[in-house]
Amino acid sequence: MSATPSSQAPAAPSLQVPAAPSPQVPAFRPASAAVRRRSKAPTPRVLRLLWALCFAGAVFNLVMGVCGGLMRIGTLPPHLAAPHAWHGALMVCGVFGTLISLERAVAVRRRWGVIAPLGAAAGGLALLAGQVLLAWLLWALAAAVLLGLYALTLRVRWTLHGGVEAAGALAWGIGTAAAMLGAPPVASLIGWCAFLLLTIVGERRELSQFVRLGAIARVGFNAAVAAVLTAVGLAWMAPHAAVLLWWAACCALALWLLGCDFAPRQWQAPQWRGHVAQALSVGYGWLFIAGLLGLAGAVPDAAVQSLDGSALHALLLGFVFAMVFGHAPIMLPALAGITPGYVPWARAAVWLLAASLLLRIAATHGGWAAGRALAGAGHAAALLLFAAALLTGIAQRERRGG
Amino acid sequence: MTETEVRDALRGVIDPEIGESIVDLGLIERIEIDDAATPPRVALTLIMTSATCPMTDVIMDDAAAAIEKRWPTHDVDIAADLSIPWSPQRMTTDLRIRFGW
Repeated sequence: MSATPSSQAPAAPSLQVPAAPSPQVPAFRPASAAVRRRSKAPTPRVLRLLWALCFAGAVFNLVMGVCGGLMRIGTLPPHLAAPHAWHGALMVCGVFGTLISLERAVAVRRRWGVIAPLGAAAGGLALLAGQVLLAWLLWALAAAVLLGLYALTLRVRWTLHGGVEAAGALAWGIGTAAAMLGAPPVASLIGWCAFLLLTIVGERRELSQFVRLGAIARVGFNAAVAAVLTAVGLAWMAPHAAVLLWWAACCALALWLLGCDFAPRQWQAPQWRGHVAQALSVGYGWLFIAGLLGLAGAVPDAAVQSLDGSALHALLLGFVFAMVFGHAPIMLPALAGITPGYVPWARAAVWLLAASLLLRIAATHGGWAAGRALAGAGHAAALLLFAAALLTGIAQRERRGG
Repeated sequence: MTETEVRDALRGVIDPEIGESIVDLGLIERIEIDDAATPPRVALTLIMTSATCPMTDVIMDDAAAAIEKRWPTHDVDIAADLSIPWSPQRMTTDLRIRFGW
């Protein structure tokens, strides 16, 4: 047996991988938290069913959440009270809470990790069934389990990006606690939005390790993340100051992403890589616009209101959904074992969403109700277009035999 | 089978998020070859920059497929050691220059 460490690898301390023959490690029971083995055994059926259930729960929350949003904006008549009332909570916690938790549960390979996406999906169902307290409890549980998954990996090796993502899970819990304890509504909004923002920027910070960052970029990122966390805490006591800080941090992180992330540099890359680059870059632009709109509306008397409207949707639709459109083609193989073929018109969904969001903002500020309803239809069409593009890509791959 | 040949076989395995070869990115930590075993065996240890990214499994599967394609009779073990930090020195010189190091 010859054993040759990489010639370029530094002599880093590590937990040694056992020599051959390796122990037969069942799927989803890693030898240790530090060493993950590629399992030749199939993933247990029960676990696959639970993941599928979580995904179905996320899709159901998405349909209900989008319907609620379309009712609010005037695209659909307001016939369903619960989705109309809980649109934001369903979208952030029911949809993205489930998807983010599912991604982490699959990655960390702990059976108990599935409690996080299950709890997040079930929280949305509880809310729709009118069980509000149960929904808060389920989302608090999901946030705690998600935090546990991060803690497990951070115990093996501390990383800045892991810490930022864990702080995002904590913000989810704080936002949910705010809703449960009757804190100012802005405390829930900032906590929940911080959950998404920190998860995304944490992931992008991880990939930015590959490029050289100057001292200003490194310190600036940390300062912006600290501002986000300060806003999450401050929202309980000083909502107006928290809102200002929140939107300023959004602007700062958008500038950081536009300047330091490598996605904008790959704008002209071929196939899915170019798709990812364009979706992410457009999303970073929306994050900056969200910050500007938020700051413009965050004069003291209207601070809380600024979180409900154009700025919030520039953030959650423009930025967060651009991340979804960008990451879905490369995440599907990891989460579902499906690799979609490249579909050039998938990019049209990114641009349709951006165009409809511009229309929404213009119509909102111009007091044009029919324009807002039309913009809502554009949002829904963008989502459907992207789903159709992914299904087309999957069908293409199936025809070519995987 | 030599370590260089295994490394060459892995050069086509791309990190889906970066779009670069896992060899050039310096994600290969260790290659163990046992041609005397029955069946002959190769064990590959990778490192990852994130422990919470499900992409790890995709990269491990792609690496296994690349080795199995070239050496179909070998038993292939792939592991990712998440305790080892990545550093820019692990990248090839060309890639370091391209990424501004």
